[in-house]
Amino acid sequence: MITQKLNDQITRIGPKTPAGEVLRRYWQPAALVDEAQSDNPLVPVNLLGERLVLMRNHDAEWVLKTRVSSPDEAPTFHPEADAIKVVDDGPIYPVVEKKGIFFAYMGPGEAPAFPNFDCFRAPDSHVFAFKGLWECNWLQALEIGIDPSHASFLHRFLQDEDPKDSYGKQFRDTAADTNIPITHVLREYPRPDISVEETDFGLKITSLRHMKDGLTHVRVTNQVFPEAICIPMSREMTITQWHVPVDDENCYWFTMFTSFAEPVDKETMRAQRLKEHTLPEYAPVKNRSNNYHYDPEEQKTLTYTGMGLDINVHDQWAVESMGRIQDRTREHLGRGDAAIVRYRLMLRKAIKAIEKNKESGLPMLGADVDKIVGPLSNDAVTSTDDWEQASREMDMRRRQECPWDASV
Amino acid sequence: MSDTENAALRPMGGSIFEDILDGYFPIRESARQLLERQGASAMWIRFVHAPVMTVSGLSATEPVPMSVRKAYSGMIDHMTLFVARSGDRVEVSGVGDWYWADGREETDTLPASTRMGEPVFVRGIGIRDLAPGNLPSIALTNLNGSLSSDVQLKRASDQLGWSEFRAWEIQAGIGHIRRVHEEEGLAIEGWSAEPVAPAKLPVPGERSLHGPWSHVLADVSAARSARRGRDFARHS
Repeated sequence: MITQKLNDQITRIGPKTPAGEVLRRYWQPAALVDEAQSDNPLVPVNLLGERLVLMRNHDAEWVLKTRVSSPDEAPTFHPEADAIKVVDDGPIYPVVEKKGIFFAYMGPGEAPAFPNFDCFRAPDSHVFAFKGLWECNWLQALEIGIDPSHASFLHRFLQDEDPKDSYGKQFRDTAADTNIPITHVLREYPRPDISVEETDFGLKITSLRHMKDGLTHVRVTNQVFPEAICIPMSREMTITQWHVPVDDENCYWFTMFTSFAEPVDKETMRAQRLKEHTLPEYAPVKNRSNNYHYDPEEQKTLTYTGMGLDINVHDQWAVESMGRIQDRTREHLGRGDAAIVRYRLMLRKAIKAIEKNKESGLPMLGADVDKIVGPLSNDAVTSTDDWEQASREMDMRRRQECPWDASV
Repeated sequence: MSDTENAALRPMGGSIFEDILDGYFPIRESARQLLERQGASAMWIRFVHAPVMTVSGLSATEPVPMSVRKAYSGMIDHMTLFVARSGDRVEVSGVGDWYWADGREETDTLPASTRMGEPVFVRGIGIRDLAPGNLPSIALTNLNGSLSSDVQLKRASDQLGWSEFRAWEIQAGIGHIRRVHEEEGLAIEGWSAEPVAPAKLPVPGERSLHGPWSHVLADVSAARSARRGRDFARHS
């Protein structure tokens, strides 16, 4: 419950805004490599309130340049390539390609190094990238991802699916070394104990669901500063997801699905997601205009939301229904929102550091960024007595068995 | 008091903690609840970048409002509080710096009835009476000004038998939160030394828990404090 002025400080992202200046100190996902498949691609990019185009410069390097735009364009306006005109004296931003995503640096000075997260060091065969539009501010999109309790309600499945049908879907696997479906754990144990630790890259969030017979479900997720999360998707895969502002009222999620042992079945995963999105905007088929395909019958028997089995739609509904920019003058956070509280503290510290020209204190902008690995991100059911060690050992085992260097 | 006289020293039990100071209540009420939750008689806490608000027409005893449309809002840049139980009440004292975002007149003190605008992450030291037979992990001291702080703190540490400690300045007058612009200087690096046998510990005496005290000291040796405590000592 903060005043509008303080809400604006942490949500608005245009040039020279406090939060916008923080985001501009980090590489931002700008477009999927899938979007630049023609011989001489010009890909419209709407990012951090700027109207840009992804293209190759004279040296054949990828860059982002400002494109001519009309003030009344839709936020995700996607002109045809032959209608794009570059602003000759506009800024030019450097771009690098990483595992299916073009990242752009739109801040001052030298671009920072990339950390050595699993999603960046896994081979191309083990990473699949996709994106989707949410019609809301980036901060509320991020904050749902660092609230470990929401999964027990928003993503509650009233029946457990056969795990062999779960490929490419979240929360549909069984917990490591057990036959217990994650859907069962989330449904039956809705009040996790949450602890949050500050790390080199952001926050490590541990949720403990104490179960029967001396067992505990341990779920470790992460906030990667400034606007990403890294969470387990299944025993085999993790999700690293950025919530990237288009403008103040729209954002794209960009996700890297990273697999440990087996290569990702990209065709299956792409097909699953293309069925739910329309191109070229990557707009979700289920959205506010069609009430997210809400089905009261489904809600009685199958899901908490009645909006289908894709949990991304549940999250989309939750964050879009708050309004384009969440009205935090009416917000009431509690101690269960510990990760959100810690995240806002980090964001405000970063805003202050930039105001005082002390940017080297921001997460992942100092030395040795390339030594940051992991992060550990998994679901495990362990003995309650030694959950911390057992959870770590399960993750280590997965890493040791993996064909690429996933050591931490 | 002569140059060689020791500063007032009260050995205590307790522990270093991280917790959330609840939002939307007056600072005094949130502090009381935190003190209760930590099972402590007194505590020293520190936090930064915390939104605060004063809601027009809302008294300190009224419940959390639904929204803050008619409010002054501001931000605490940094704050260090010493909170001690005093009968049924708690005394909140401290120092910090803050600003009001909407042009409210700035003052030298911040009433403890000011409400937090969000829950706040705090690091702190919960202070409890020393159980019989236990060695102190925390201590309160009031330096007497005749010798340097370093000498007096080291002397206090020796008296407690600690091998490694850190001290934080309380800098608080009883019952108010006063403005200081710089947070530097509130934390004093501790010292490491060979363990010594604890001297005969001072008896707590009549001085009340809420002071005045000038410093809180914590044993941060690997042998005596958890990893979290040592992290706290490093970061705070």
